Amino acid sequence: MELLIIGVGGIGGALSRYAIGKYLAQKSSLSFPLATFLINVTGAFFLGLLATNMVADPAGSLIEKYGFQVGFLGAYTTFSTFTYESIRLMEDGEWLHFFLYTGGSTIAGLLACALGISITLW
Amino acid sequence: MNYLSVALGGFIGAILRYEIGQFFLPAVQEGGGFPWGTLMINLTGCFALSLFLTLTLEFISVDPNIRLGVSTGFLGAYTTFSTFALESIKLLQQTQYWDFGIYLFSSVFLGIAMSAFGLFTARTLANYQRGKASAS
Repeated sequence: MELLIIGVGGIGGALSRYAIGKYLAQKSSLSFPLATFLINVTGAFFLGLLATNMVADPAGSLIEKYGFQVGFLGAYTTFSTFTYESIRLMEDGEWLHFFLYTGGSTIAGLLACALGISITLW
Repeated sequence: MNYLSVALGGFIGAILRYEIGQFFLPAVQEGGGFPWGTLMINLTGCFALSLFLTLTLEFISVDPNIRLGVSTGFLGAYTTFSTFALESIKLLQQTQYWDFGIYLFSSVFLGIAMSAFGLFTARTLANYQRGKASAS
């Protein structure tokens, strides 16, 4: 049963990422991969927010744990596209964007997750 | 149609990520909570995406819906950034600073290295095929 819930969450997450990526690609022609950056940072924030709820209520619900955390947010955010876009920036000689993108995604992603956790603990 | 292929890929990718995570659970428990599962998932996914995209964008033409389903759908959903961020913060909270540093460094730097390796493998394969084709 949890596999089906994870799969359905994965559909929602992948479709949201695709739609946001398409929307932002029409809006901007930057060489900086803004869509993946925003997706990963917001996804890390929401996972931090939800994960602390789980600690407060260890039973949690199946839907919340498998559907939203593992399925939706796991699939909404992506690591492979992040590193692929990084090496493309390197290959294009866009060194400033490369460092901003890899460093910025990592630092902002971790900070956003910590922020999500601390909001619920407050 | 492209939404359908992203959805199908996302369905399979999320389930596979969970199953591989479960497979690595004993290793995580033995390793004092070091997130082996997510690390292995992300590193293999980085290699696979870069290999696949380079091959299909530069050398082999495949149906755009298949390319989208495999890359944005399947491999995008298989790898994850949010769990990586949460596990990093948890290691910090548990004052496992070494594990935190190793996890962060290996995810980002080895992830980028695996992507570069995927791109290099794709181009090597394609050149080898071209060499064979021109020799015959």
